[in-house]
Amino acid sequence: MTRSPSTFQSETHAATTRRPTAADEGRGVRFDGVQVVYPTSDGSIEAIREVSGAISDGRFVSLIGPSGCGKSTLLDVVGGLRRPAAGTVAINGEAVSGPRRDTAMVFQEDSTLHWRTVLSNVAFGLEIAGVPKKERETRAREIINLVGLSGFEDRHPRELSGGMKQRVAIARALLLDPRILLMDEPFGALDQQTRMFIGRELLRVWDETRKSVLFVTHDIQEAIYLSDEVWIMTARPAVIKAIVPVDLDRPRLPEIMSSPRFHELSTQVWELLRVESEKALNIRGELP
Amino acid sequence: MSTTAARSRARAWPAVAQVGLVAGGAGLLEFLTQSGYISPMVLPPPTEIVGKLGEIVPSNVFLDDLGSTAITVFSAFAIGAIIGLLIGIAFWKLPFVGAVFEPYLVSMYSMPALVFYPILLALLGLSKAPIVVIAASMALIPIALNTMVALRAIKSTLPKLGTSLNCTRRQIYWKILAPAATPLVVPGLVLGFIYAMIGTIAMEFILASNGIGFRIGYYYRSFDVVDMYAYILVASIIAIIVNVALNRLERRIRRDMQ
Amino acid sequence: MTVTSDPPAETAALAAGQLEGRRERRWALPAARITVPIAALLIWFAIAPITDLVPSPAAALAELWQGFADGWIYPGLASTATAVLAGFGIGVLTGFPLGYLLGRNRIANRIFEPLIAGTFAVPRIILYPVLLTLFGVGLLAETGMVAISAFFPIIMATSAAVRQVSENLLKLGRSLRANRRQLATKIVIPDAAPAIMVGIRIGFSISFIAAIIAELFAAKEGLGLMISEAYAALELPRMYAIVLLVMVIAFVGNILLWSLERRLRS
Repeated sequence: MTRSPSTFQSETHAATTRRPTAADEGRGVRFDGVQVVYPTSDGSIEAIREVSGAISDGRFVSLIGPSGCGKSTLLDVVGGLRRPAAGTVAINGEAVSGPRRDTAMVFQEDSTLHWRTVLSNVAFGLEIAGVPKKERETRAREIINLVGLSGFEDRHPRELSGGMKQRVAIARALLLDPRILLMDEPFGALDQQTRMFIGRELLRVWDETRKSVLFVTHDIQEAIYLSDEVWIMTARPAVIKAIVPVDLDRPRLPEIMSSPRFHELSTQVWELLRVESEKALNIRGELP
Repeated sequence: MSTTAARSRARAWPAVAQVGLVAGGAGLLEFLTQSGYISPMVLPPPTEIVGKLGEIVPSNVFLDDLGSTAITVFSAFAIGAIIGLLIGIAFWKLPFVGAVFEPYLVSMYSMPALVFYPILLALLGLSKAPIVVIAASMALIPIALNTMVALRAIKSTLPKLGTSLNCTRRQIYWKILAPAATPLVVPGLVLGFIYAMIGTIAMEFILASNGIGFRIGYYYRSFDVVDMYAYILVASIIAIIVNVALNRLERRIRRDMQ
Repeated sequence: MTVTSDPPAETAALAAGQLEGRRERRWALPAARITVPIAALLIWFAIAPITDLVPSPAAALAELWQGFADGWIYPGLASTATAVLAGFGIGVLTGFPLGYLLGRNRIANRIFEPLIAGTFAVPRIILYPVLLTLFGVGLLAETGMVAISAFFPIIMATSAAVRQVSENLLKLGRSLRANRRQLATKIVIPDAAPAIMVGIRIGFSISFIAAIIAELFAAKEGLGLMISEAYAALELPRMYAIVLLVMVIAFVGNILLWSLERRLRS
């Protein structure tokens, strides 16, 4: 708490401006001066001022920032659900112009289709893509097994807990075999214990598949535990304030959260985030 | 200032389109009737109907009909509201009784309570009484159901708060529960009033000796097409005004109370 | 390590919670509910001897049985059923697609929704004379009346249901690159189905009520006409018998649609 946030900013800013190496070129996700503006009934709101940076192939990146700062908006832009006002997002060198085959999204709230079974929920993405029933169900069963839902194939979402529903959503996304997985606070609605458990599960699945992941969260511990890099966003209009590389060994077990290095990283992220959260609360008039 | 003007203009476009649609429809009918494509025995020209409306509205026949219908609606609503509120409170206080009767109350929504009208006519004679009974029974259903739901939806912390502040039972009821339930009770009352009005006009239409609904049927039977259309128009306009006014009132009350 | 080693703690807790509670009360509620119509019947039995204006339930039921045995009830029953089914069918076939359009299209919604909602309090039956002057007394005018009455609750419920489809699911559909038809048939309609069914159920009830009222006013055939004829001739057992039949039909129809609605909701 003794060092000012700006010290951290200058210390970690190098990561933001690092030029991609030859190996990175074109692979993964590149952000180039992305700006997002929302139209409202009286004028418009600038949600994101300028985001530039890159997620190289196979990296797990968390996006953290004060609530309402535009994290989910940035995710929607990568997912092709929202067009930026300026700048581009490129995936493997191609500019994103709409939803793509090689990205898949997992949403914050329950996005299971309550009238379908687990199996048919997981297979839904392939169904939309026109894959024949037999093939998509065979593949869905494998993924259901991978996320630990075997035995629940014929259940309906109402028979599942919140954590299991999110696993269904993750399985649905994984079944599309995307290069990039976009996760929008997927565990936001879950209680702390379930979060820890399902976070560990996610890491296990990720270790097996090694997708690039962009993971939006507001939980510092979760961000550090899961990620290779934590991107910290400022209050609206958002820019990337800092990138904190997480140099913890993999595979990680939950025990790692009590290690001194984990604690250091948490403090570092919290210091960077604190100022922004205060700013965000001020904007909304929740602080005196 | 030009931006606010532009904004209010942007908000007004649906109203402009609506007025345009209604005027266009009336214009089309005017053309079709005037040019003889539609026989005046089926539909007289809209201008003629509106002209008739100007004659009817100040007439004694209309004012008597309006008064008669209004008295019926208000008495049906008053009876329905009192019984409905009592039923709603009883179902909330006695959850088991509520659970027993709730499905019957709900299915009364769909029951043609109106088919009892001939029975009531036989029992009570051709007067306002059978109409009031039917209209009140239609009005009480949404009032009872909404009251029950409103009271059940009150968070248990509110009466606890009252007890912790040493409120008397009376204070808890009048100062906490009643205002907390109001935003949901009011829509029930609004719906109840509208049902009372629909029920009254429909029953008058089938069989009555006066009232707006009766007059529509009366002019149909006496082949007085222009008067019939004028009465249909005036009944519709009254119903629309009542509906819009009550919805505004409901929104205001809900906004102030929530 | 493809299968999780420890069973998800969440599942067990869920299964335990669902089975508990309400078991001892299970029989009490249905039993109490059944006593309500029985009590109503007993009251009817009790009142009948007091006044000439109320025939005994036995007389009414005997008359109803006679109606089926002798066959005098069939023409009216068939006529009313035709008007209800045809009119209701027209109401669904127009109200559902237009409601879908109204719910999904912002411009159509802003223009038409207030117009339709504004006429909510207008008793549809006052339009019946218009239909009568147009088509003459008969099945056509009655069917038209039923269709108009069914149309409004169905279009309003469908529009509201479609508009309430979770933003999350629409986002999911778009991110999976679902086309317009897939979005409608695989996401919007299934998600909105229970709420649409409420409108269809109410539409059916109103169809039936509208047919009876229309027949009470003017018809060539039908249960409503038979009620008013029995009233005019003061054949009270017959009048009560037909009213009873109408109530039973409305109740059964409603229960059937309601159970369909519950199946969709689960």
